[in-house]
Amino acid sequence: MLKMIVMRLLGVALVLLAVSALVFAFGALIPGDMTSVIVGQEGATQEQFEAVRQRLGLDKPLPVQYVNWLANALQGDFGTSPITGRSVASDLVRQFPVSLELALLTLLVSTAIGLPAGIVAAVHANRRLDVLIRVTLLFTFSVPIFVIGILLLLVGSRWAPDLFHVSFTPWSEDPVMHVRSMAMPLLTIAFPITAMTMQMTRASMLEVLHAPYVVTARAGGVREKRIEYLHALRNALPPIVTFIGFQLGILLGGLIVVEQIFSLPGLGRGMLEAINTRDYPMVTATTLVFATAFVIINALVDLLYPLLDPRQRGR
Amino acid sequence: MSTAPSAPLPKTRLRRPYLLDQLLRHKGGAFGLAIMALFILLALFGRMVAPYDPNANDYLNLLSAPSAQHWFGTDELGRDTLSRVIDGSRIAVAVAFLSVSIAMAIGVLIGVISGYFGGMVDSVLNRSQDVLFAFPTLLLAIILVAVLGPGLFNASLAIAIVYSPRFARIARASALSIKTSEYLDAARLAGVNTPTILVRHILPNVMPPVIVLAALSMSTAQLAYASLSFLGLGVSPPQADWGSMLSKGRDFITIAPWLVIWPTVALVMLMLAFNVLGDAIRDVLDPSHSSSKSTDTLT
Repeated sequence: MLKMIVMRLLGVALVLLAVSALVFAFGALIPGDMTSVIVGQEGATQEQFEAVRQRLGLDKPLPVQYVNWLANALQGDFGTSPITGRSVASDLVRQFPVSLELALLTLLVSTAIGLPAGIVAAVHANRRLDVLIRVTLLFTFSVPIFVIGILLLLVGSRWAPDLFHVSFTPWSEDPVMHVRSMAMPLLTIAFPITAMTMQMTRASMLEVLHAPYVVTARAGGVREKRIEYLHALRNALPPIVTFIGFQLGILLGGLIVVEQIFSLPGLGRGMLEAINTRDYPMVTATTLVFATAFVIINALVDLLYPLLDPRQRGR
Repeated sequence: MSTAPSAPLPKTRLRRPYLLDQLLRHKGGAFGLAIMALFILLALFGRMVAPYDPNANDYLNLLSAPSAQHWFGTDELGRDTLSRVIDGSRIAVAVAFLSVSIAMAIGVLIGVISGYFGGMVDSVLNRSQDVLFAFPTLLLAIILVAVLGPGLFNASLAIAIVYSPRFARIARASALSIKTSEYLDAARLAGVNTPTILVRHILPNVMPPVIVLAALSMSTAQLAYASLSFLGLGVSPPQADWGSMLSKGRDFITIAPWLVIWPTVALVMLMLAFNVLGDAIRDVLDPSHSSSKSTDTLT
């Protein structure tokens, strides 16, 4: 078990190294150059240009630049933004909690609603309630997140102006305003994720509900509710948990979109803004944070698997 | 001349390609085909049927509500929303086909080479694709557009790169299973050279599952592009494009809701058509598959 964990962690470290190299390469490949952003295209002499290049280390070969960048990044130093003049790390520290909060709340809400709803749908398979749930799902899969956001804005601006005209307020400033400002974004992103959790739970439950041990339990007179929630759900859980890791990619992508729709000052919005303003250090930093979070959480889900499914432990 | 009673001729059906024939019999398939055909026609001939020039400003009719002159209303520059929705279908349809075709081409090439040659080539290609899988899909698409620059082709290329590993995986698996078959041994013994084997013998057998994946990917690609366009990374203005129309319309949502409603309707209809058609093509080409749905969409 321990050996497996160590091997997995090593694998994760290797993937992260490759990811960081790719992110750095992307940063280097984005057209333009940070020097020209700082110096400006006109008015700078060649000497000034070269001086800035040297100060930023851009005159060195790319592999050297990569190693320096990675070494600094590992110490939490992502450089200074040529656009805002602030250190990139300080912006990340400000943006990260916003995205993290939205992500965690989404997982909480989607699991709290999607899991029970999926069980109900499976138990009532092909009856009216189940059909209703599945039609809703088909619709959800055909609709991008930003469309859900726009529709909510449309409805919200008419019927819930209290939630609509709210700009983001940190919890520390005004908790009530904070909850109001997060409600619509949360609803938007939780909608499709809940639908997916529900569908996965339904499929997974349906598979185990007809398993021999469930039939045996039923024949032995175990109460139906006990069968559903104890025997079946316990065994349906591993694929559902794997799927929650899998959803994460959709969730992170969704964050970028939702933060943009509702003007939330999170990582996703920071990244888009940086791309638009050619803020190179910021682009690489935000991309690296997103990709790292994705890889690490997927690895955690992998490690969780043997805890849920004893058959996996021996391997 | 012949006086024999005219025996009822066996009704011969017009020969249609097998796939099309099966799709038209499939309930969802016919529906999906119809909607898709509608959008393709709009994409090709939309400029002729559109009541106005999609990019013509009309400062006397800014943000005017739907009326007999402007069925879907006008936007903040007085441009006719109906004409812009119609014109936007050109981009939507083009991106869906372009990105899936490129993804298929890259993926099949890599997958077949990887599966057929195996060994080092296989490992290197696999590992490099694993790194791509380490990125959330939309994030990867965004950063690729940042690298490649905006525009229709670049956005399609970015989406294609994001989705190509899926095609590579499927193509590789098929190539692996065919590699050891006897007819390939026979071909090799007969002295057929490797490129010919790849193209004439491996490729045709790899294609059916790839086509199914391509059909299922159309809606995902379309959605991915809509998201990019919504985030301001699609084609440049003033070209009408559903995603960017939505993101612009968001600013006027309380006073001009028609600006977001109609692009949404068009987008959802086309995606629904792609979804239903994709499922139908899978049912036809791969009857063994139960209808569970792949859900890894970009947003």
